[in-house]
Amino acid sequence: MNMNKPVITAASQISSIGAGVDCLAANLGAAPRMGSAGKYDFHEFSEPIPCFKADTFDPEQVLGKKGLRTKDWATKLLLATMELGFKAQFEASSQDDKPGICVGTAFGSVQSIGDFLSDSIVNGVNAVNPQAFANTVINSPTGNANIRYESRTLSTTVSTGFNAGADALIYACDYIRRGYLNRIVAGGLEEISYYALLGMLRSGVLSPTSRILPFGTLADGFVAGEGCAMFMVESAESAAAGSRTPLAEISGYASAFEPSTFAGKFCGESARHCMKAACDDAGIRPADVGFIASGANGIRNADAMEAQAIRDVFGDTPVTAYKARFGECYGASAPLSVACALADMNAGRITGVPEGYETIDALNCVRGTAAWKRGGFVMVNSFSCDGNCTTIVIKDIHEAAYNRQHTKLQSY
Amino acid sequence: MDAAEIKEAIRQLIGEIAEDMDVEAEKITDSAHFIKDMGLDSMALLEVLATMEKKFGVSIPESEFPNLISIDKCAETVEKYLAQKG
Repeated sequence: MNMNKPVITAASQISSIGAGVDCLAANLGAAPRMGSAGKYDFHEFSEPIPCFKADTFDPEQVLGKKGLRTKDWATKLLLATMELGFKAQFEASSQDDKPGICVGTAFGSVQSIGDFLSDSIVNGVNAVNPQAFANTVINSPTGNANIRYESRTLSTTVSTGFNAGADALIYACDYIRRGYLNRIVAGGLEEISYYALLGMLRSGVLSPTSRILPFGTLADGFVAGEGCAMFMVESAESAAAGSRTPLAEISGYASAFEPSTFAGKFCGESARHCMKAACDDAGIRPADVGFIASGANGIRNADAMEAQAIRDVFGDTPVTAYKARFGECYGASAPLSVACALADMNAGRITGVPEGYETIDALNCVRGTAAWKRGGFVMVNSFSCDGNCTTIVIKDIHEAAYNRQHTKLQSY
Repeated sequence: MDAAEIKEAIRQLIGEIAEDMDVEAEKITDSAHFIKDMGLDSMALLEVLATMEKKFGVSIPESEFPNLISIDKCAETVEKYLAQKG
């Protein structure tokens, strides 16, 4: 383990797969659980829209009743994820040593913003609940988390579209690498809102057959999802000082932008550059990457671009696409993919895309489940149709190997 | 809507807000001061005002805001403006 690289010492997630990280080990390979969105407070779709909902937990049961009445769904999703994964660490930390919080989200509180405006239009300005106003800023969920866990060290919301969650992780890593803070809970959050779903519907990205077939030759769009995945990211020194065993090292990362996407072209130059740059940052060769958790979501030209870029850089390296399991969760997708990759790494396996559909020939796309040797590197991609490319390389830290190294470090 | 129904509706509203703010049940009485006795904050009081206007279909001027300090006072204010409304 490189002591300059940030490590992940705890993880938590809520998605359509379930709540908490343990469910990923058990249910990641199970048949995806799909629901639908139809009726909202002020709007209704004429037909329910199939989607992957993260209604796999009861907010009151996880968070208690106090203070929830005026919190919106995005905030409850983030708070519950935090509560399941990091409550004890926050409580055990002194005021000056509380971890910071950094959340990536594409749409943030757009449901609350739209509802607040709708309420004022439908019922009149005076009828709007003033308490709901606090939900109408994009950093409201993050701020609420800071308040709940009394964290004053960092409160950051990153909103960079599809890549927001990946970018939030990078932001946290940079913050730690520069020595500003030792520990940050970072990740991504996205709720299925009426307004975002309507935008997806009108822009034609949703699958008319309600299937999400990453790299599928017959893919026709994606199914939207929602969820939250957060990680305790900290310096290796901080983890060692707190006797927290790392689950993985964030070995490298890179971002790039692909302007050709605005012309409807997906040449893949930036994707290739991004993956190579992340390998360089990690100090590894592409051949060292054990498997790739791609950002593929069933948008055929974007998937084809990523497939070709992967083929060009990595050849036959196994590839999976966890979005087949939890849908396109925008800002939460990359962190959820990291959480799934951690579960797979820990179990010594790769959960591939589901069986039952044909994938692009050029790619070594894992179907069902494949074995994976522990201790190697995994790459998580987030390439969006708006041209943003973000890649993160994580290294599995096998507990036995870590313990050996940790003991060695302590003995110096 | 008669006076008893108005008061009951306000009790229910305050009960919901107080429960969310973890106010002990015994502190919630018709005469209890929202801030001094129950510990509600100014945002909660604005919510009380907005909800009462919506629920009872009245417009309560902001000048009445300092008077909305208890369930009894809220009920009196609503009755007053309902009567003015005719």
